[in-house]
Amino acid sequence: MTRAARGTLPPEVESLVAEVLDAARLDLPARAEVEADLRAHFEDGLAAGVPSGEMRRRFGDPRAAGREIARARRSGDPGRNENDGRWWMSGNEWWTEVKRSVRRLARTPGFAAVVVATLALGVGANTAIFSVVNAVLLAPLPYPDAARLVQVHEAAASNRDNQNYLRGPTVAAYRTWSEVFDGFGALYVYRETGADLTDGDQPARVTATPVSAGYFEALGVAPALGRTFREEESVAPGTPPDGADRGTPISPVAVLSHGLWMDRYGGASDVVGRTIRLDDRPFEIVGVMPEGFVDPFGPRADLWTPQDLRMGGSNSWGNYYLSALARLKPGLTLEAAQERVDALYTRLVEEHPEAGTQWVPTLVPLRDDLVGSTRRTMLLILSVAAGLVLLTACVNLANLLVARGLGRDRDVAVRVALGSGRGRIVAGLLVETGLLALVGCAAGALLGAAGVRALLALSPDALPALTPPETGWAAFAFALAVTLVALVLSGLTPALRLSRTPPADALRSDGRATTGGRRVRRIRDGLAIVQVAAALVLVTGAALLGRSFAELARVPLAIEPEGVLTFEVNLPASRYPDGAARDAFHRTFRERVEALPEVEAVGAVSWLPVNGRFNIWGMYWDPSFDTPEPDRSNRDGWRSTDIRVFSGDYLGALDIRVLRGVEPSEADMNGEPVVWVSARLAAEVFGEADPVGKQVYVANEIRRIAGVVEDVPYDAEGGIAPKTYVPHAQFADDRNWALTQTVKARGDLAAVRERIRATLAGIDGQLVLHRPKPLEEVVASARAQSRFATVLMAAFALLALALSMVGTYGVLAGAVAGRTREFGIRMALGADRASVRAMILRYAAALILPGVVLGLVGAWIGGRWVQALLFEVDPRDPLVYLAAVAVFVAVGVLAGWAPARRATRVDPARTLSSE
Amino acid sequence: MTLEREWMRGAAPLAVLTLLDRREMYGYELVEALERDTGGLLAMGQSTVYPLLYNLEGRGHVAPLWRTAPSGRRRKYYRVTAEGRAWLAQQREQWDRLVTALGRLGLSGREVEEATS
Repeated sequence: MTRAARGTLPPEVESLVAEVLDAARLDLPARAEVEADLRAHFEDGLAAGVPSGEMRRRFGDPRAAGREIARARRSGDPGRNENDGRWWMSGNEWWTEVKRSVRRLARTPGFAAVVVATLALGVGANTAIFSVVNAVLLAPLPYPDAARLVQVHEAAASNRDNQNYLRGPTVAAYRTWSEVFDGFGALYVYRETGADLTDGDQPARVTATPVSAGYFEALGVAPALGRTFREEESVAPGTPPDGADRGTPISPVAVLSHGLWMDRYGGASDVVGRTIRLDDRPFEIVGVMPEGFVDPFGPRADLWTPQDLRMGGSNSWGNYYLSALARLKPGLTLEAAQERVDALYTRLVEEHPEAGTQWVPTLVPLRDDLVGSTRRTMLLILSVAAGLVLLTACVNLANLLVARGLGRDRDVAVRVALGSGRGRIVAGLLVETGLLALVGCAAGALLGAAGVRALLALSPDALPALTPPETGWAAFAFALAVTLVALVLSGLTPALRLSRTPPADALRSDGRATTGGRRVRRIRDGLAIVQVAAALVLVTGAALLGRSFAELARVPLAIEPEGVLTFEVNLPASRYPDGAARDAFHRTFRERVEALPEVEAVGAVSWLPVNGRFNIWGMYWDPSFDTPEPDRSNRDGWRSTDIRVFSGDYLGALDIRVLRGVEPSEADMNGEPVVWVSARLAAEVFGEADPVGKQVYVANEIRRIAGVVEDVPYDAEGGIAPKTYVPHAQFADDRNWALTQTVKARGDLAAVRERIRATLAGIDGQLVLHRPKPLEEVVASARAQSRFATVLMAAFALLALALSMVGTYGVLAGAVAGRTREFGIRMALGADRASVRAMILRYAAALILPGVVLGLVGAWIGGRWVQALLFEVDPRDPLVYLAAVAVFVAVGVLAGWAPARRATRVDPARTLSSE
Repeated sequence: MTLEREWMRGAAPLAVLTLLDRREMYGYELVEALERDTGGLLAMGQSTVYPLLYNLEGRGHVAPLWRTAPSGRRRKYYRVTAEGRAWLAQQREQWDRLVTALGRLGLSGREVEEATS
């Protein structure tokens, strides 16, 4: 009997063995074993004298044999098994994989926590911002066919961005332009008109907005109960009585808001027809607006009264005080509508030259008007910033998952060796990723919802929205989608990579930490660089906004808001019917409040400073006006000025200095009419000459200038307009001025407020101290938008900075871990620790510097858009860029320090001995 | 005559373990024994023996061991494990019960003349 040596079976037997092994598709160790068994079998048979052909015949179908062998080898159970090379998984197998993933993640809670936290931050930030953007910029206004709604201004013909209110006669004309407008509504929203609602037991302060007939119809919303205003309730024949309050309705009817109807009347179905008393005047309720209706100009309106549009009185060609919205005819574009309006206005001027060509009707889409271009820019910039944060978060996630994938090289290799199909391995890794994504995104959703609430709380003034932002599902879906893509890609890469590597290679690496090869390392480096770039853009943006806000805060406001309390006291016409009564109240009130020990000064004013321009009236002066019989014929003698009606020690309460002339306290209010002018007005009108003693025509009278007052800005950016201060005692009959009280006091303003309330009750028990606010708050809300943008940007920048630092650290730490052998050898060969440390820091620099350069380019390009939000700051300020670069150099050093130290701590002796 | 597949599935592991219970055998030896001792009935294709052995090994009913053959070559033998014996005993009891039950139905095991093949 011949001994059959290995590999020397007859050819037909060899080929049989080969066929069996091919069909079995086993991994290397199993294949070797089966091959040995088969060879031994055939050798034994041949040794027993069986011819090879017979051996072949007796063996049977080699391919079937191979498949059977394969199935039997991989598990003892020939039926079900998990590693049979299939691509897909059954439901049961998915569940098993889920349980396995949960166990695996539970073993590394730190990793899971970091992934979930990173994901939550990225998703949450984007969801919150997008929700706000959606509500403010994207969602349609809550009116039918809202795209056709426009606001109508009268704007300067030379510059349509300079917008003014409308005049009564022009409104009357516009209402007839049915070829352009399908509906037109005017309203007096000059200021929020408050009224005391007294009916039943509890008086309440409500907001009442006078609107013309057709207002609700223009918006396209029908009342839920009753009706809205009829034409004759807005435009009846006859002229309004002189001296009547501009807000006095010509017909004592009112439409309630749904909120007021529910709160105060319990949703009673018979409320229509009831009489209520507003400021002691009776009004009949004629209708109730439906739930969800929001007045675009007065979102907080409790009720509406009819606006008087009769000619005469306030409705004159020179009085700009109304606002209006209109619905364009279907199919009419804004441009076409504007053209027609321009043509119609030209015709109007021909018929009524007093209309003038200085202010012309201008249409602006209602949404744009309500949002404002600055706010729009701010929101868009913040959206981009949130996106950059998401980017840095995704990069970190990708790095974390790649590292984890690398750490599981051996695990995966073993599974491949045991016959797991690629699909199975991929599915397994995806399940783990998916679980993390699920938890992370759920956390992100919660964070986003909280974020929306926080944004609204941070600055409600910065975000007007007719539809309050809710956590938008569209936003959440968007952030989720992006993150999932990133997660899948980064979770998938190691799986695809590993499932292609011959398992033997991975198994051979003997548990030394693998860095995954040059390709993976380059990807990680690239991602770290992108992170640094994104973070740098955000840091630069935050720095610019921060500086801008600082500049804004430094704007001298010429007032001292600290310790000043402001509030309103409404004087109902029934008990304070004329100017004398109202002025008497102010005098009495002032005397009593001044007597309080903490109070230093008491005054009142028609409009607070740093609160926008208001009451822009005409003032007349020309050199001929200082004659005994001045006439106002020179058209160039008219200038516009902001009128401020004041009483008491208003100037003293706010620390506004009188630069020339006498203090109001020293002037005789019972003598000739006097007025104080601002320094700007004095310079514009009188130049170098001393204005004190000159006569001007302002506030319906010829007045003598008693003094010059320092300029007080009307906005937070220090805008100055010419101002005129008219004493209330000499102008109280013009209207109920509804002065805002200003009280300067020491100590706790809340306590002072209560003492003032008591004092007020002592004068007239029915009067209400309304809307108390420290002046500091008023000023702060003027800076609300800037502060909002700055705080948010800073938060994003900090987040991105932290994420990129972690990301860079991760890359460096991983690199060091993978090269410990190398360092050990280098140091054994004589390299000193300093040079090894330098190597790591150089690597850090190789990550940071390109990222910085990329980031600077991005910041340079982005500077153009940020400009709109900046105040007195150049978006390409080199100092800011330098500071940002310095920050990232520090980041690089910090991120590289620990890994560098670890590199130098490698024991060369131990490294060599393990070779 | 060859057994139907269903019968074979039940009988084959039983047969192999019974043979191995008597003494250890190597692959080729087992194949020959199956053919010879069962009159060819349980001569499953030789290709089926190895999957069956791997199966039994996977289940822990048999274990391999290496011996040096007279030719000097190393040879893989299979022996029954304790678990295998326990399983075999179980299967034998089931087999006895089956035969008894079928016998009550009138199916007695008759001696079948071995067909000349």
